[in-house]
Amino acid sequence: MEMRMDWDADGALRLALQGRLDLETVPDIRKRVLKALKKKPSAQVAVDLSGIERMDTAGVAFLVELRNLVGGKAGDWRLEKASGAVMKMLELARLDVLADAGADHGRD
Amino acid sequence: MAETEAGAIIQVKSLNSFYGQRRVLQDISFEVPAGKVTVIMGVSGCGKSTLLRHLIGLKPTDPGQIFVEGRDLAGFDARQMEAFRKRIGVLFQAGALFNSMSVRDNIAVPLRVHTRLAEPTISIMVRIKLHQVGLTRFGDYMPSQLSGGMRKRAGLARALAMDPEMLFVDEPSSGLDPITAAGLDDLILELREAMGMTLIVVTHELESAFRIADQLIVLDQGRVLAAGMPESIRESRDERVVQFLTRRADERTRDQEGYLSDLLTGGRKVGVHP
Repeated sequence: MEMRMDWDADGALRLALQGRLDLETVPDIRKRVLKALKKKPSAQVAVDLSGIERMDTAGVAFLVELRNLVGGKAGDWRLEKASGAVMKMLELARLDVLADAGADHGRD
Repeated sequence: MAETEAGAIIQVKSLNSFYGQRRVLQDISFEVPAGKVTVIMGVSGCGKSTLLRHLIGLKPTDPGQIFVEGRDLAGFDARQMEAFRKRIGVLFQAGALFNSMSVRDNIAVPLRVHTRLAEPTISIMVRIKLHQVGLTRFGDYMPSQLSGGMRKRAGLARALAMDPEMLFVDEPSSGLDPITAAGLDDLILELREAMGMTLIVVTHELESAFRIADQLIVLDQGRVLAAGMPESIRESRDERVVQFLTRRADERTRDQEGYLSDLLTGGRKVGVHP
């Protein structure tokens, strides 16, 4: 799992994930994000999901937890470019209304 | 997940099963396609739950073989069997919950034992699973405080905790009201769709079977009576299949000779009478 973290001029965290976001990868990803947010707190986070090949419930839970870590307010936490497969997992967790679909949504 | 050349994740070849001298499965062969719902159905006592126990490695396969991704389940060492069990979820008929733990802790057990996930992540996952099975407000309840149907749904939430690649379900509808049972069927179809999960469902409920199945295996007296797509089973002209599908009781008319033999000998000479 590849991860890239950037902070924009307003201090909002942009997180781009690539690969699998699942039971195996979430523990390490979570540790890295917690460490980064401790060093440089952010009240907003946007997660680019376009690079995620597979996501399970652990991945969904991590994304939900991320919302709490940045304050837990609507608008402070955005899920962007979710692929069809990722959107299906969010649907299964009844969280699809919170995510923006990527260009390939509906094609797989 | 790797599959066999035929796209089957599980292959059952000439499986026989015995309880003591009594043979309950006879020369069973079929394949389970990956990412599909395979329903094993038949009347009570036809051997379908025994077959499920073989498929999850709880009952030794001798004679006969079960291949998982082309590897003989009987040849798995302890490490391979543990790896296999981490990849499967099982919902037993009665839910098989730990009575001394809350529903929430029951669902969290496999995550705490088999993963390195942090407790806050586990806690959210448990809530997602509770929500999926319609038990959002019952996480703190003990199993003894739940109805039979709720225990079954809690058992399903635990079976799903690890997002298994293969889910084995024994009689999902038993003890559930029709609306809850239909909801469970919908969830099974959602899991296949969203996660590409392979589901093996054992049931005697025809309506549910035809609703969810991509493939049907009909067992009768320990043998495969018919196997195929739901439409082909529905159109079958085989007398026994028709009898099963139309729910005609046949205990009184079937195998009168066998029945008389049972009465006279106590069943000692009779082959398959599950």
